[in-house]
Amino acid sequence: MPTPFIVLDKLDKRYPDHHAVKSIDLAIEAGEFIAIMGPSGCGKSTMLRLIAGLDEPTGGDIRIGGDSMRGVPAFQRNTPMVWQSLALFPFLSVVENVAFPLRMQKVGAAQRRKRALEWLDRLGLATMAERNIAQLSGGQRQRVAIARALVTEPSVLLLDEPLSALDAHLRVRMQTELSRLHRELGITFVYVTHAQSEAFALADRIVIMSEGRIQQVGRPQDVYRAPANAFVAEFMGMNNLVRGEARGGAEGRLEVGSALGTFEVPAEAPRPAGAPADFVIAADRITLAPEADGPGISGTVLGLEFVGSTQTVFIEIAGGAEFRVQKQQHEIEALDLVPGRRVTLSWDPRHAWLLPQAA
Amino acid sequence: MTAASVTTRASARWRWFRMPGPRLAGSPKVLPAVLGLPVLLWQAVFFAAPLVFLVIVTFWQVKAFRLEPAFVLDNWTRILFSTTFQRALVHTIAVAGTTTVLALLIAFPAAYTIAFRLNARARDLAVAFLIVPVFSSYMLRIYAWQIVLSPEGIINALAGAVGIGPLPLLGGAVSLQVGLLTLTLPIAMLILVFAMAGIDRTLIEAAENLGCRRARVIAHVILPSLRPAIALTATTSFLLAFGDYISPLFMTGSKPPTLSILIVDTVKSGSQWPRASVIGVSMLVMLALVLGLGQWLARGRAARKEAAR
Repeated sequence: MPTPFIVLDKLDKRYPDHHAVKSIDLAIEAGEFIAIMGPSGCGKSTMLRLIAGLDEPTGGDIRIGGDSMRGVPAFQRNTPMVWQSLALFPFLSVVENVAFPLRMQKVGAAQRRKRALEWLDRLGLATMAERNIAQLSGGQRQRVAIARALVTEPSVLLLDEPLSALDAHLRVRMQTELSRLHRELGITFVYVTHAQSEAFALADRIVIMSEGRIQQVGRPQDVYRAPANAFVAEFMGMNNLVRGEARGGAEGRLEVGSALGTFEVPAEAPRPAGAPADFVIAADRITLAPEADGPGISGTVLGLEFVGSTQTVFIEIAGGAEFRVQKQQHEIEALDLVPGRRVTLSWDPRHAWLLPQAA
Repeated sequence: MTAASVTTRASARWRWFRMPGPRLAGSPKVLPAVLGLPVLLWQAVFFAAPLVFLVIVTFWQVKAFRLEPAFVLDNWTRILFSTTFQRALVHTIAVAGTTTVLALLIAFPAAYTIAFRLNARARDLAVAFLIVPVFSSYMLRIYAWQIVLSPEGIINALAGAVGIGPLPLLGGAVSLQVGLLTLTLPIAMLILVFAMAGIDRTLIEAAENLGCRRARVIAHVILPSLRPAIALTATTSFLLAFGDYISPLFMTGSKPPTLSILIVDTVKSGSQWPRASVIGVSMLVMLALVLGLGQWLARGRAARKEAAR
């Protein structure tokens, strides 16, 4: 296992009216692309600010490359950040913006111009060097901000929701660009976002945060298929949560009793009867059939939501619970799924994911 | 029958376009013009007309204390080539320039403290204290300074008690600057405080994040961001001091005269309205030049390069 490059050690941040980051432990590998996700106010941006030294932690420590950052001011950390608002200097030209960090390092005028131009060229902005920031499009500004952050060739790049101001088309293009840069540079990217698609597309590992705590750290497929708790399962969106309790079971299986009936789910360890046992079943792993055609639970189609290649079908189950099921267009047509249609839901028991017991 | 109905429809459409009904007055094209008209009239009657008249008067003559319409260049040559005028012009520029520099030097750190170092409540209080003097009588404030600075004033009374003085505090360049700063400082501070409050704080954080130490943030982010506000503060301070009459009169006893003192003197001595107008027009030319310079300075280097292209 490679040595971690950035280590958060019981990192804590209290504001007078708000406990933003609650004793977080996290090790980020060198060269890793890590995405930090969570709803607004979960502490993800605060964590990034603490790494950059823009805020002082009220407890714990941050180590970068083995060195404690305690008492190291922001300007000495070389942890450049790409801001959501980009924070480009409007009084400087494009090339001057990119050369700014070099100017701070007292690099000579000719040398810093040369290096800034190289980076502008690398990001396809060579012809824009002498322009004003105000004359650039959103995507071009984004590139200037990235060039400015990378010009000193740092070993870590922090990104705070960098693509949220761009339109959908541009966002996808910038994702590809960031992915390419990460591959070429081989440095650590710490990427804060609330957009699942960005995190899944870019990150090696994803950190899910809520209310100042880390809920789960894992590869995208892990947090998606094997959520650590109900929060992560619901945050991922396309999961259906069934709350129940253990009823016993055989080797590697647990029988779960719930308001919707009794289900069998894979389980690594047995649980005492009566212990809470919640499981999730992903929206794309549910089979729909005309009502009463085989085993399963019945429900009524509430409505459909067009996603793109698939549609999300919202189904009301007895007792008022709502299930989401993802289906291809042709399947929806074959079953004639219109609001009010009665259907039966079933799934392969192996695809259910039993949530670990809360510690 | 058919032809008639066509005509009616056509004329109806025509009327719809031309009729000055409420629909037209409220249209986005016409409304600004209608709303702008009073301002335009006001400017024409109270600014443009007097200005034109002021210029016309400079070519008139005074005969036996009576103003007579004429077209002579005599007033212009006499004033522009008189050493009194030239000295007063240089003196006034020097005085106003000094006020500008002092106002900026004093206002900048104070405004910085108010905008960046005070909490929200203290900042509001400080701004309130800055606004009050702007609305209090300037005359009153100058009288207050006279009481403080005069030979029998508060400072000399205190100095006398310890055996110093009396000091000639009133009637020199220092007291003149005290008076002019009384006028200009609150306004300079207000402009700078509001401009600093408007600086995007993420720009400052971004600079630190990119390796700019705290002490250099002022030079690298705050000053460049404030360029237009500093130009505005400088032109405002300069023009207020340049045209001021009260401080030169009460704080220095009119010696040496500034241009505004010279205007009054010229009118008093032999009703020389035309020559006073020449001085007035010269001051307006100066005002236009300073405003133009201010505009030029307000634009960043990058913007100037852009305009030159």
